[in-house]
Amino acid sequence: MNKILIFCKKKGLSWGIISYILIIAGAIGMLMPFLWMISTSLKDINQVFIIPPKWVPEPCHWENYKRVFELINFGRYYWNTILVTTGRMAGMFIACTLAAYAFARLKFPGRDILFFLLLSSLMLPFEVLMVPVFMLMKNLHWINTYQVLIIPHALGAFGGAFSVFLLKQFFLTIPKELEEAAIIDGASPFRIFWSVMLPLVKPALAAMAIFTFGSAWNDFTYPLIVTNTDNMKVLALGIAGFKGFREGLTQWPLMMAASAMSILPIVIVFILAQKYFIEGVKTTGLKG
Amino acid sequence: MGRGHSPFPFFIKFLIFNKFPNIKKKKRKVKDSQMKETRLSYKHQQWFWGYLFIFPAMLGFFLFMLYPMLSGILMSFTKWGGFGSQEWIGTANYVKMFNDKHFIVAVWNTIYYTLGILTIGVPLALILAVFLNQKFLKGRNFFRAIYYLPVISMMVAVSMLWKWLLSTNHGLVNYFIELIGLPPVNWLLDPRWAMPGLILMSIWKGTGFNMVIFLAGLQGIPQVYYEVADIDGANWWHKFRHVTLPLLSPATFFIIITTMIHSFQIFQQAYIMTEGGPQESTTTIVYYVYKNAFEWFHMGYACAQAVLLLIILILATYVQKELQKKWVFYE
Amino acid sequence: MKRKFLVFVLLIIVAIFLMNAGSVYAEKVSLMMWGGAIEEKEMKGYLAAFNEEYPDIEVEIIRPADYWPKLMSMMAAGTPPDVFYMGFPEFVSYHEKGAILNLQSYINADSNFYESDFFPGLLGAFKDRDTKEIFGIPKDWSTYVMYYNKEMFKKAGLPTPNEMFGCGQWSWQDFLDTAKKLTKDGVHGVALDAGRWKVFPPQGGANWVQGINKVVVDTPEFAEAIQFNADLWLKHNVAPDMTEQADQGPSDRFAHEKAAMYICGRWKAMSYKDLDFEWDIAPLPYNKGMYTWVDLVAYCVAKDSKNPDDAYKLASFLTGKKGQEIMAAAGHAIPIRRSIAYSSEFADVLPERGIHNTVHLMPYYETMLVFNHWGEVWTAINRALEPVWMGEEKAEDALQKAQKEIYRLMAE
Repeated sequence: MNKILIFCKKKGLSWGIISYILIIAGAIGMLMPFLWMISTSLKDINQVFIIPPKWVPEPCHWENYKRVFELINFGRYYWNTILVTTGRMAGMFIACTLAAYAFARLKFPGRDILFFLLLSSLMLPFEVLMVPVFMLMKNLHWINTYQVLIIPHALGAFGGAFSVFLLKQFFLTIPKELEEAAIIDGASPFRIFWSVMLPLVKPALAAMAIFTFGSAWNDFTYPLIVTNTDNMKVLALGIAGFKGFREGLTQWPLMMAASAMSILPIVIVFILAQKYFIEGVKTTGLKG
Repeated sequence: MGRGHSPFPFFIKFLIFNKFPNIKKKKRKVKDSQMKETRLSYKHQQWFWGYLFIFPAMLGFFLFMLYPMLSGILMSFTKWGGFGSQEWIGTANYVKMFNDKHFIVAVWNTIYYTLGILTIGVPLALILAVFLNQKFLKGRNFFRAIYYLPVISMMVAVSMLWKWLLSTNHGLVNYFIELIGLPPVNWLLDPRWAMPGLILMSIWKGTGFNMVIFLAGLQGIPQVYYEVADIDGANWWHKFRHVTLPLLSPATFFIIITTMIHSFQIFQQAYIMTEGGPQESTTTIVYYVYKNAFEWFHMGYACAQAVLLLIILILATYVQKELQKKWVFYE
Repeated sequence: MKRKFLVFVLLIIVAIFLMNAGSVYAEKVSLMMWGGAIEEKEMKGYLAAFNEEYPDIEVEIIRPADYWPKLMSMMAAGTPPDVFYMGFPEFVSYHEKGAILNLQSYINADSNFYESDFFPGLLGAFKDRDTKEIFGIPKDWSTYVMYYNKEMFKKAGLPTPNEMFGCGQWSWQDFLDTAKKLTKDGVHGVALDAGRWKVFPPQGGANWVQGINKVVVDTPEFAEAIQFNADLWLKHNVAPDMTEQADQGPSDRFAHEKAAMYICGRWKAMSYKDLDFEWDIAPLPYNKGMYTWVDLVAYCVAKDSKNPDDAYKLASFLTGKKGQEIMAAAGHAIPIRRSIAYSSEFADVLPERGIHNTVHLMPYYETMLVFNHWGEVWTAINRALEPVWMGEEKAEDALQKAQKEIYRLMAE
């Protein structure tokens, strides 16, 4: 509370209040889809599309959440998604950060060309890559396996270039003197990378953790192509499975219930990443 | 690292230290592997470590992305239905593309969309980040998580909600528009307003994403710069313009490029919300690619369009990279 | 330290590979289907019955969240599913590319097939155009019907559409008059989606598909039919207009008694079984001809299938008498065999409702409307018709534009 008073005195009380009001108003706007999702998940299917829309359904069908597990193999999808996401994140944490440091601070022939090549992998839409990707994975006999869902992404394919680019930009902002001091002390590049550079880009690492988790968790098109059977599906596929082939046959409430249950981990990871990575920066006394 | 280029004096030192291991131990903090590399010059050491570090990521690229990308490019020179026989037709797809008014419309729509996102969405994300970085705010992390929620929400759920929000007669957006005295807009049914509606929804959905990156950038700015500016008597605008923005420029550069790449490939919103209509006003390049590839059995043609998209993005990124010398400030 | 780390990473990679305990390449027959979670559950029930007759054949269901891209990529890589769903329009393209297996020899050897038991014309949609050999076995079909709210008709003292049809008084004009009488107090006489226009032109006498490459839409009959459809809300106000349709879909309007009649596929009937008012199904009105749109899905076997014999057994069981009996009870679509469709298994689905489940089966088209560039032509026509639904353009003008586009597409 004291901090707020001091701050308000510095900037004027009105600024603090305006800030709060704006942020809360915006937050309500941002929360709307989530509230809508929960509201729909508790409705009966015939109540979903009435106008004017009802936000609080009566009665509340809490059993929709149970029905999700009865109709589809939701638990298995959840488990698969956890495995795939952690596998991808672990791999990307190594592959992307190392590459980003090399592209940012080390000099070697072809560096810029290779970086541009990597970046260009983000520029071809996956829709035209789908068929060749399937053929490639089929030739590796990797269709419908865990390795096909984890290993390419863990090595930074299919979107890892994003993280490499992100970290490269942040590495470039670190003053060269810090590196040079480490070099004089005789540290190997790996040591410099691990002990000097990485801790200094913790906010960017937090951002990277959030994105890679979110995109792996919600990944739809890639698993659609490379998995066949029900027991290998991930959450995004399972939830889309509530869509009927025809309009009007979609199980909206169940779909929203499943969606709501699958969003939670991402929010948790977000809060943890912010806390762990960023609060950690304060203790170094260098930034913030 | 940092040793002389000639190995000769080093050789002598090496012999001496072997015979008298106690001498100058404190300078010998280097690891075993360094002993081998110190034969190489500094330049070559950098080569070694450079290639070693990029090896996992490049392995991923060459193993899993190069073949599909080259396939996609090669397919653009064929007439192919997606399976079955392929027929090499050279640049015929490209010629067809430039004469296809549907494709030209798609390109314009995509450019319109991208500009909308870049000019409104990116500054909005910056403002949000600045707001949510203020120290006095209690529950900052909580608010940040809320602003990030739309990013991870399912597009199906989001489009359900926005179809209602943008409804002509019952929608919230028109409610506010009428409150300030303007006539209601037939958002999703009017070809002039469907794309703005889509842009509005996309900004709402995607701003949290860029906000997180801006936040990371803001948190990386050393406090000392602000304190110096305070001492010089700068007000908040000066601080923002001369401290925050320049030091944020590497992150801004990243956001502009990645937002551009992402916006140019927009597909989900057009597919689920408006199905490319009304009157093709929300048909984007990738939407047209999808239709051609998977519903109309024109896979080769679709690949040609995708290749054009790739070329546009490569050129745009290259231009940005050259321009960055003018405004991006690395320490 | 670094060495330990590398070993750890290696172990994890090995573990990932080992997690795939169950082999994927066992000798199974793969069946690819579309639909929701409920349909998959029902399919598992049908497969259980299949396994009673063929205990040695193991069937694996593939139900992708996006059907056609998945099917296409599997075919492109040479590993198609053994049996898969195929719609009648897509069949033409897939058959042209040689992706589908010729089933005629299996059928000739199958004494239980009874080709005459199939509804005429429907099997023909999956025959090769020249050799007339069968490449796919239809599994069920659906027509567009008129749903109506019995209670509203009773309250207004009007005869039901079924009664009017029985008396030969269910023309467009009769339909329009009925709708007008029922439009009051915030209730529309009829609700229909703009995309359902395809039932009207043939009723209006427009012969718009004259060949695999000949689609003619700029005729006066076609324009009149489209304008009749659009005028339901533009002129007569008996149906919700485009904005109202966007706010609340016609299907929900009917379900909430905001519309007395609703034109939709018969497949919607099962979703309506829990509605709390009396409703029934009637045939669509007619004008210069009787017509309703038919949706038709078949089981096809892939040419590159590794188990064609087992695949055929699966397809023929599911479309055979036993399989059809079980599917009829689920009530989603009309069984493909006449004996089953008119039997009590299907006719009495939803017995509490007392709906006329088969009354609409008579007026349907003999030949299925098929033509080349299917997806693009429909897109072109729909796009051209958008201003007509908004009242911004007359049907004749819009259709002329559409025709130009169709000529361009057919010329490719």
